[in-house]
Amino acid sequence: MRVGLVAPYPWDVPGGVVAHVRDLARTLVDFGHEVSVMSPVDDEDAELPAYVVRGGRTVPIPFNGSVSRLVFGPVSATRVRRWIQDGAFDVLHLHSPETLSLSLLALFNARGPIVGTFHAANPRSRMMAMLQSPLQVQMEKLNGRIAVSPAARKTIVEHLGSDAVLIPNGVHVQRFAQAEPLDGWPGEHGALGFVGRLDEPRKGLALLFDAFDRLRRTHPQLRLLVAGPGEPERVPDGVVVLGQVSDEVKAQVYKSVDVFVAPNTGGESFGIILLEAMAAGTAVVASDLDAFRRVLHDGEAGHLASVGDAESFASACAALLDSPARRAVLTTAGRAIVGRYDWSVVAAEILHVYDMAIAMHTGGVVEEPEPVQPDLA
Amino acid sequence: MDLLLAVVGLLAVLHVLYSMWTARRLDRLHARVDAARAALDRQLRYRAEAALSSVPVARSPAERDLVAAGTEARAVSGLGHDREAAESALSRALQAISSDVDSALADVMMRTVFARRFHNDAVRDALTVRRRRIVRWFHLAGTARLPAFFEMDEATPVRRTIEV
Repeated sequence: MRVGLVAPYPWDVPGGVVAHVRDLARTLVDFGHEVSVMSPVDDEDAELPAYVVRGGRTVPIPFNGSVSRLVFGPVSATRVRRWIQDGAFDVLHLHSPETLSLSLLALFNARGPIVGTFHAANPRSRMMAMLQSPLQVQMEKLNGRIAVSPAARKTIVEHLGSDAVLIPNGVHVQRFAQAEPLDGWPGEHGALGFVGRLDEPRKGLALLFDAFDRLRRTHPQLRLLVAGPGEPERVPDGVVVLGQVSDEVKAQVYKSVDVFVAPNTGGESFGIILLEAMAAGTAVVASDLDAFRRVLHDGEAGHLASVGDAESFASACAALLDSPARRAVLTTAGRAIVGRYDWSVVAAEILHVYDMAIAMHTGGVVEEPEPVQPDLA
Repeated sequence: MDLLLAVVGLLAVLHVLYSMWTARRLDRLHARVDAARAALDRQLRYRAEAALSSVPVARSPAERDLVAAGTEARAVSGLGHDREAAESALSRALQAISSDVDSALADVMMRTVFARRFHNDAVRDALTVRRRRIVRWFHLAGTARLPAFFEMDEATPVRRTIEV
């Protein structure tokens, strides 16, 4: 099958959606399909895999307290149309088509079997509320809609008045299961781990540092291994900050600690980090958020701590650090759950969606007769 | 007076343009519903065939139920209420043995779930526009029938997993 994927955010900026598109593309290639990904790329010198086609650079636009990166302009529309024409795709798969992004631009300019995956859980998006009616017309062109989580599905039900099938995010289980711990980790005095943006308040690193300070009173040699982009405000004693790391090293980080901590305070649609930790066979302590509760099967595969409560995290981590038996109970449950999220399983379900979208058309993806260039630049 | 005429004329032109645009949009939505309907019909048929061929010889009561439901579903055509009832019965028979179905039948079951959801999505999108006042008052939908959801009990396969 010839599959065209469109990523909404720059390929060279780390993020969950881009990682999803990349892993899906690789898995489909492994299955023997022909895949082309069109993605914005900010750095002109960035090295790209052979299957990635540049879709232009993004323009940062501050909106609603954060920065959206938009890619629009005549050049992009022309590129998208040429890519659709040259690709002769059986199916076009757009990621986050509800955002003002390359995905939406591709939706404007294509017709035929088109599938959209909705990643964001954003119950009160002003952007989406504002754009509801014009977006709705475009969303009508999607033959199949996928939501990666119940929260993401709820968002499109509420904002776009439409529905989606639920296919979760994937994880390369074996990559994490077979990774080697970093040299000298976890060590005999115990180690905690954190993966995520270091300076994004909702990822909760500051909260974890508070919990860590408390834990050091009872576990003076405890260490904390931290990986992710950004600069933390402070770094307590006993904390090792790796900064942004490659995927290979990230997989090793999960293997290098006794307890993986996800102290996020909100805004999580899915919880891919928990699946990665479960695949690595590491015990998890996570905030009691809906998304996390779901992935951890109500606490069966990881301890759920009160959101934003450092004491709750400290006591949960202490209990697990002191009891290998309790960690083993959680990691055994985690291994049983995570196989369902392996990319080989998830991608096979996505291929079923492709087939059902293709079944609604007599031909493949073609460009719209008239170029559409929304006046948003 | 001239200004009033100009305003009325402009509104009339805008109304005509908007009506034409909406009528075209409805055409596309109806075409999508028709295509989704045909795809769902085919997929339901595949499911009945797959269910029947998964039981070459019915031994248990559950297998006999499945064969009866599959035969019944195969006999009904169209996507009316009788089909909904027959496919629901087949879903219940499949659900009863869902932990035992082979992977080929499980795939067909999952694809059927998707096909029905995408069909109903298309119907919902079309109905949203059909219910608009401008569409009803000015008969922008022409003679196209009001699309109907396909309601049935679903049979969801046990989702696959890998050993870790």
